Amino acid sequence: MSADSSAQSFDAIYVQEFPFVWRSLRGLGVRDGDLDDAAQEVFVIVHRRLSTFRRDSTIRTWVFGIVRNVAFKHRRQLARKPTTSEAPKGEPLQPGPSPLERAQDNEAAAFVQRFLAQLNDKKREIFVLAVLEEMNITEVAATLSIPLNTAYTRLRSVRADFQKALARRRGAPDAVHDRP
Amino acid sequence: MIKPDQQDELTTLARARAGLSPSPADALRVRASLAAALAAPATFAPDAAPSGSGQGLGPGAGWPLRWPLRVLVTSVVVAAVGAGAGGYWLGHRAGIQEARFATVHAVTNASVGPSQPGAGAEPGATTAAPAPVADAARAREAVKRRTATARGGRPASPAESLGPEVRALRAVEHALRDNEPRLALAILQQLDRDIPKGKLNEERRATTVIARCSAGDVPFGINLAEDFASDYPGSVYLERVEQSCAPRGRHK
Repeated sequence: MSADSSAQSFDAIYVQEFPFVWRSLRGLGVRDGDLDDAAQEVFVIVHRRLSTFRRDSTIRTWVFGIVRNVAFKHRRQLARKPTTSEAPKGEPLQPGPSPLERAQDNEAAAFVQRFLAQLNDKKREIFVLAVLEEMNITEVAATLSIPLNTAYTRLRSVRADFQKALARRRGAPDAVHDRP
Repeated sequence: MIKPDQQDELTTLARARAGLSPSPADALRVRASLAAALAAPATFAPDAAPSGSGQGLGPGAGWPLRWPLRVLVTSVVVAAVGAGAGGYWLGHRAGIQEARFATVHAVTNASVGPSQPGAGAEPGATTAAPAPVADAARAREAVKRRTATARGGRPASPAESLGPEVRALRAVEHALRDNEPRLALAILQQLDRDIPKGKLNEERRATTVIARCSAGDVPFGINLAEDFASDYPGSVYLERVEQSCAPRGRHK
């Protein structure tokens, strides 16, 4: 792989995968204040290891492996030094074209993040990949290195949890803190 | 036919995806700091490669050399959408007139009132002083932490300053997002002391103005946004600056 083609492919990977990386990091529990650092860390590792990527899996699968490790590291650091709880914030510096839409999106994102925060790692990863990212379940199983049946079982279970959480929210809009 | 429950789930997930997705500004900001990190690998390597990649700069040695130019372009956009940056000139002036600002701050706080509820919430002039002192200590800490590895005890050359500058400006952006404009100002002042001749002067100036307006730290008779506009008439940050400095009643 020439240097130039590597550079081009890194650029392409950045453009294509940045939203996926960002959402996955948030879904896997990285705090909003740490997202920049975590995303940067992911892409530095992608850049360093791109030449060793064997292309026997999809690039997204490979990148998610890095995201997983980085998110785990950040969560571990967070556990060591607890800080004030941080609700997902809007971005006051960016004038949004549609404040209502944005508020609704942020509310739904906050709900999903609270739901994810209550799950264990295995369920959380399944939810992020299969439900949020709508990845094919076969690909999810390959990404997480688990048998297909296990992936299906976890997916069913986490979907049921999510539906319960949604039902609670419909019943009592402020009751989303309940355990699934 | 989709049941209401399913519809609720689909809608919530679609909205959550949108809410969790990065904005274009996020992508540009991370890209700029990524570029700086890759252009100065020695400053980034210690926490960037957790498990022995050991490959130096990665696939192409020539690749990072194209980044400094991109950094300049993207960093301009970065601050425009909110990351922000401050002006060296105004920041320097702010440093010289620090004592005067304390007085002015007390006056403006009493008359204009704090514009950000959690940030400039000092009830009156007598309680205005301790916050900047505490912020200054936090800012010194933040900027030192971010510049120490890059400088290694030497004064930063212009070429070396970009990475630490971008990182410090990111700290400024975090402070502004957290509604802590005084901390943002303190970080900018510390940045001016540590890297007085940086490359991102327009960004520093713009962020300083945004932070001062957000903190309500605006002297009477001086329109910071107009000052900025006269110095940088074509700046891409102009709208952002004007919005931050607009009277609260006209704020959207």
